[in-house]
Amino acid sequence: MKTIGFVCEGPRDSDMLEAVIRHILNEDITPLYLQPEASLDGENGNGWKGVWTWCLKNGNTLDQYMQGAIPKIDMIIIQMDGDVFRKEREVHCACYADECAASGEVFPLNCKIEDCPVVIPCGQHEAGISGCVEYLQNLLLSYFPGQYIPVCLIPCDSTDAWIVAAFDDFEDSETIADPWNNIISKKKDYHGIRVPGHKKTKTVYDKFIPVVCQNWESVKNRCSQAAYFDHAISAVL
Amino acid sequence: MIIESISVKGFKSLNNVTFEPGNVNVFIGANGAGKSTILEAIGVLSAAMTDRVDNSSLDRKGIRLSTPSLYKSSFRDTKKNPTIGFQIQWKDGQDQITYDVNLNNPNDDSAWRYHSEALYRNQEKLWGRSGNSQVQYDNRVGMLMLAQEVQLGIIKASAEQLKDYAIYQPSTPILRGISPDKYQATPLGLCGGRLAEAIEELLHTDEDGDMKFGDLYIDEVLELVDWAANFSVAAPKKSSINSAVPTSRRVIEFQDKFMREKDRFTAYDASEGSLYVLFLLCLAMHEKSPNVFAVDNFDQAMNPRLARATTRLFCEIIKKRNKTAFITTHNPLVLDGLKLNDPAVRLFTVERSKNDGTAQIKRIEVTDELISLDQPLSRLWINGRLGGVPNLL
Repeated sequence: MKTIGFVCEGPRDSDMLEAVIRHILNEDITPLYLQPEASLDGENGNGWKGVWTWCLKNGNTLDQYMQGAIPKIDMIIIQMDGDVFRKEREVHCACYADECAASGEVFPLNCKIEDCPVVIPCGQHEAGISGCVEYLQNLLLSYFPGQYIPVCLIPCDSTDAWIVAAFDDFEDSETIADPWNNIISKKKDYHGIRVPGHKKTKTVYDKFIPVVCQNWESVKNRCSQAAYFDHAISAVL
Repeated sequence: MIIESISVKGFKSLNNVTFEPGNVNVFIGANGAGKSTILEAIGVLSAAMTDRVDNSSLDRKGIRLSTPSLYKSSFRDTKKNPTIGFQIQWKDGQDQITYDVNLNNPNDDSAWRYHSEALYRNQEKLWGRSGNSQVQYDNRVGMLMLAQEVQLGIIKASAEQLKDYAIYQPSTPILRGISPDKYQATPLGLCGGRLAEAIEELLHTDEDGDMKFGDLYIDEVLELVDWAANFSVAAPKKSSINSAVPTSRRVIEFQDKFMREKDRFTAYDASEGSLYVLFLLCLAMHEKSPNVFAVDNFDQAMNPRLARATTRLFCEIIKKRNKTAFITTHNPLVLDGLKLNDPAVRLFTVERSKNDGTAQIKRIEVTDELISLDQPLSRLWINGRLGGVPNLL
């Protein structure tokens, strides 16, 4: 049985990816939930900041981290939602290196500079989903110089887009901003599945995930990162 | 008895598992993962081999009495095993001994029936029975009660080491001596009864006049019970315990480091963490405690650092005395007390398969190189690297 480490923004993301991997491989896996941390304080923080910090902290020693304990880790999946690209200034810090003396000197999440020159949306990238994915993948994978390179996944606008792609025949599932609030939990139920309090609870998510797996071919056709994920998992494992 | 492997089939969430224990075996995992079930499975195996399996024998070992249908694995998407099966392999000198048993548990509360049972030495069958055997044995009684000395030979002595296996789950009121222990046993009850008597049996002065507690100098114990200047066992006195408090015949008396020398108080007033430490040390060191035993929730009531130090000492004693202990914990610092580069000390994760719900056991091994990267086991566990954590924030 393969051992897969998950470095994700939240537990619902790893729930989704874990189920999809089982579906792709048609076999059970041993999941390791590396991020967000299970500790009470979550030392690396949660959400996208936690994912980024985890890469910073573990990138240089990833080979030992994966191989130094048995069972060894066969693959690490890193997931950061694409909405970070359009919403968060910190990830564009390097784009403005020429305009900021602190750039490169301090980890952007720890930067306290008041007159930050970064402007979002940042115009220094290729446009569209592919530009966003390429930029964030390069940013996160730059921390891994060793033999083992994680699979870096940037679902756009978030992992929730895969649910929309599984249920609805939208051609632009990846470009819908905040699909959870704008589509899935907008009403009291989504395709007959109740979403109490509009909350993304495990119980509710566990009802959506089997449909994502069941309609995986459609999800792949509608979401480029789902297709990338399918290819990466099939190729490496 | 050096246990080499244990296999369980069709018992509760353990549909088909095998693991290879050392002297100290620590099981970690989310709540409901099946850690306690492993301890119980060893208990049923012990009862099956050395006695019989019924409510009375299971209860004596600290196993939760379930309704008959709940003992047998029952998973929606998995074929049900017709019997509940156990196998244990151990070393007896140069010989490898294998005991194999398959049991039927009836739908009422009567004794479980033996479907088949066999003992092998280096793959050679020494004794066995099944429905096809020429000699028909009582199908409610196990091997050690049935087989003749001549058939088992010297193996009987090593097999009997599993006879007293029990699951210890100490509780504070019983350790304090104010509640009776439902599970009475010698030298210690399964919930902590007789702690004062067991301590008294271990306290002695060695030939050099130094005070010792079993194998340890009293100062070594006081490093763990660091608020105490000393402890002893005596009859209850009005000066040490309130007369309205129910007590046992013998009580543990502590002398606090900062109190006047004459002042003493009993386990009733003492820190509960210290009582758990003394309990675990008694269990590990007492001559009459079982050679193979389990402790569920090893770290109860202990400060994390105390749990770490106690684990370290506990491992040393168990290994030195060549006992076998199976323990469960939820305290990360317990893991930092384990020297995993010593094969006698083993760490296992227990997790439920998300495919079919069966419990899976995995041994965790960690290189020194990884630990040297400022990654202690506790941290590796908390940040998910070892598994055995729920997917919660």
